[in-house]
Amino acid sequence: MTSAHVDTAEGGASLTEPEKNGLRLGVQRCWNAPADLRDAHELKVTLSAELAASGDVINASIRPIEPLPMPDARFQQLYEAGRRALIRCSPYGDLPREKYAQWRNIEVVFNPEGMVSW
Amino acid sequence: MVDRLRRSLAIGVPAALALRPFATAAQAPLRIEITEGVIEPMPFAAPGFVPDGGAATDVAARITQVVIDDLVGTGLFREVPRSAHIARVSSFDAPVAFADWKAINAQALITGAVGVSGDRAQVRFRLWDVFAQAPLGEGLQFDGSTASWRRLAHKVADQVYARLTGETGYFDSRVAFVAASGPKQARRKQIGIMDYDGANPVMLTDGSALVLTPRIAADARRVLFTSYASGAPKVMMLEGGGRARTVISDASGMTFAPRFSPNGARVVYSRSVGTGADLFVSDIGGGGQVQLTRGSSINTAPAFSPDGNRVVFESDRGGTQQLYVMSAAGGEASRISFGDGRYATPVWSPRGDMIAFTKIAGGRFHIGVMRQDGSGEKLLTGSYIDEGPTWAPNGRVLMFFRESPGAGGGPQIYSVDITGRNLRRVPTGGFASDPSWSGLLS
Repeated sequence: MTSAHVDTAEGGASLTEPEKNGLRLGVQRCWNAPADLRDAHELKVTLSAELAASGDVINASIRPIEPLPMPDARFQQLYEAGRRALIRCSPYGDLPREKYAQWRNIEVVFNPEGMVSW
Repeated sequence: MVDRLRRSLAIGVPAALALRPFATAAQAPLRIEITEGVIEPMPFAAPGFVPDGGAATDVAARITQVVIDDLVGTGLFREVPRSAHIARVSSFDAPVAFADWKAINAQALITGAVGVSGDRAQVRFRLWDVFAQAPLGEGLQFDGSTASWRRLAHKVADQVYARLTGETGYFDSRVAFVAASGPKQARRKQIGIMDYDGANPVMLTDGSALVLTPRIAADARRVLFTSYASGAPKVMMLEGGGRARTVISDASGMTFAPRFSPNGARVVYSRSVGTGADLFVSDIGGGGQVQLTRGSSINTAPAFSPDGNRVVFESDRGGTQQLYVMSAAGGEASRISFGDGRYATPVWSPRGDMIAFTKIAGGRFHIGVMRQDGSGEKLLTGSYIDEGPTWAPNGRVLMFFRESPGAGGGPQIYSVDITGRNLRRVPTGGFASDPSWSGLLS
């Protein structure tokens, strides 16, 4: 798979799809999604985080950003599972250092829609 | 402070001037979406709760173990065994050695302390997110008699479960059931009541008369059942641990298959009428009786919806045994089951979204669930005889009984979760059937 390199606002090459996919897979392998989430199709949480240049997630930077306020405890639980996933699989050392500005701040959507639900 | 500063800037500077430089210089966050993960029980560690003094040592150990058993029994959590622990917790207020718990991949940590003073016990606990190095909610404390230490443990486990799943727990609850003993053709049956995990069983009847279908009230203070003490089936009620009995209806004819309304004030049941059976509702003293169905068919096994406004029941009015829903005030009934086979013993989920049932098809019995409109039918179990589902207080788990064939066979109570996983036998000592699960105790 090839990806076009598009210049960013700062003049550097943008992250390629494989590079983004690497981050996604890195988080995914640590996302112990809550088993038996009720009505998983209704649930989706987005959190933001800052990564250090080493690829380590900065724990204190992790914040829920959507939905806010959280409608019920299931969303909080999903957010916490996502936070754990981000921290457990850190550092994300495969991200290209020269593109740090592009992955320094991330938003991660945890969407359990297709997973086991009741 | 930061928010206040931003607000003052936004007010003091024209928005276009203030925002333009950031719009060009700021790098938008990298956004990714995670749609798959690993589904496995969450590993947790529960080092022994710290006893506040020697008198609490034994109780602290037992409470810790019941908390662990409750959580592991859900199938959603896995205990990291104590032999793998690196850190030792010798004080409830000591700092948590997160690195040590992280090293053994414990994602959640439960720490606690137990004190005993005379016949009173007190348990305190905290729940931690090991990787975030942060408490999950506030620490809590429960007090009770030392004799009720299992309830204290269940309450701790309920809180942990709720905090980790976002759902209410179901551990501090009771189950009424029929205990059966003796040879298969002459079973001695007693109404019993036990904790949800089979502990603390108490017999409420003496076995001198045949008893069937115990139905426990949500607060576990009363049990309805069908008794053959007078020769014909009659709906009876046990109160105060079985000391008092009240005939729920002294109407002529046979009465059977009772269920409490969600608030425990009313009872819906069946009464034989001619060659059939109809549904009736009355208050628990037998007054205010309303007949819900009329006809020559057999209408039975009624159960209220959680709001008390509707009733689901089984009926052969259409030629085969199927499930119907109607208003608890009477009126027309709507059929909701349309699959192959026969349907029986429907019971509404406490959450109101699902109905569990027994299905008989292809020579096998199944426990299944469907949405309240009959759609989305899903069979959770299947065997020689699986029958009589009852819901956990949170609507996530079902109990039922499974009868084994053969001369030495008999019924045993099982639990299964709503996805059909985590099938477990509930330990009851001897044969047991007809479980009826209370709500969470207060």
